[in-house]
Amino acid sequence: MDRQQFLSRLQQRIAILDEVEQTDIIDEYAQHIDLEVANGKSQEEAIAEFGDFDELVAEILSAYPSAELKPAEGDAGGGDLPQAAGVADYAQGDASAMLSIGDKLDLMERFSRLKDARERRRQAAVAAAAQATDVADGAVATPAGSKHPVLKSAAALPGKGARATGRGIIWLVRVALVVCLAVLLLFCVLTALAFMVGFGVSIVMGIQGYPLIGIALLCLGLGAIVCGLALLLLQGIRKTHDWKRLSPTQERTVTEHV
Amino acid sequence: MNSQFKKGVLELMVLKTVRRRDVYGYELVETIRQAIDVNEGTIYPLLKRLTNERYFETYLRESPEGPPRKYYHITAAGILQLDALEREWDEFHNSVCEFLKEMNERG
Repeated sequence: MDRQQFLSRLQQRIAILDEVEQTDIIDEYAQHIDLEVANGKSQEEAIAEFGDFDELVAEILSAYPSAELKPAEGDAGGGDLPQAAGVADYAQGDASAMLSIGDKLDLMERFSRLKDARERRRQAAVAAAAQATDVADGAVATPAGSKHPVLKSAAALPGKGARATGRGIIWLVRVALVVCLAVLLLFCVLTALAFMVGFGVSIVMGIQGYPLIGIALLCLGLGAIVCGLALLLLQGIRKTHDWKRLSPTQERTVTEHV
Repeated sequence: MNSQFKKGVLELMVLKTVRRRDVYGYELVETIRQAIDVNEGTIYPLLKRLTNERYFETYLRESPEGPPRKYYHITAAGILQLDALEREWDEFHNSVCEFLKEMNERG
């Protein structure tokens, strides 16, 4: 068996794998053979050193979990097969029968059945969630594990009007908080600037002989504290700005996921 | 050498080789072959398995002698696995040596 025959046979036998993986494997073995030939061996000798061909294929396939199997045509996902039914199971069997058409069809059928079952479960869950939302008389849904107290209290309000009021309150609170933080931030920035100017003046006067080194250090320290405070406020504003108000569509989606 | 022995320690040897420096497949095979006579067919699937288990990362590097070569680089998980295997190997080796020594003394 020469290089070309070996590689084409190998490709046929690993056709169950993803194309990228197939190319990767073929490239690696082709390169190995090329390097062996460059070192003075014949192609046949280099290939013979790989050992029994069927065992080689079985070893290669056993290195892959089932999630990397090429999905059946028309299937978008590729990772639904249970791990226990991986390629390794096939690799342990008769290597020559490993990639028979029958095995492939069986594998694809199982994959397809699992996918259908998952879709049915998902649809049932969505329907149940929608029903639960209707029964709750329009209560506002909150994300699972939401820690925001305003959102939680708004969720407790019944009825559509209350829901709109809750959203309005949240918006007002958020705007008020941002404005307060921004005012404080401005105050801190101005104070920090004043301390910096004070520090500069004290240093200059200190150089001229006035005993102002203590005041200069005080200005420096206070300026640093105010700068730190300003940074904290800035972070607070950014966090407040990042709060996401849920639209009715998003609320419904969250309910379905819960 | 018994092929089952070789198969058992091959993972340890491969991890140890890649731990020293990044290597490409053929280079790794050559390094291992200097120590034990090994079937190349078993090393490439092992490299693939160790990569799939996130013990190795791979990257391509240009080669002056042909197409780019795929280099293997050990990950933090790979280093931990190597340490565990080395400990196991030491324990196993010491136990077997002790056993053989004891049997020789008795017999």
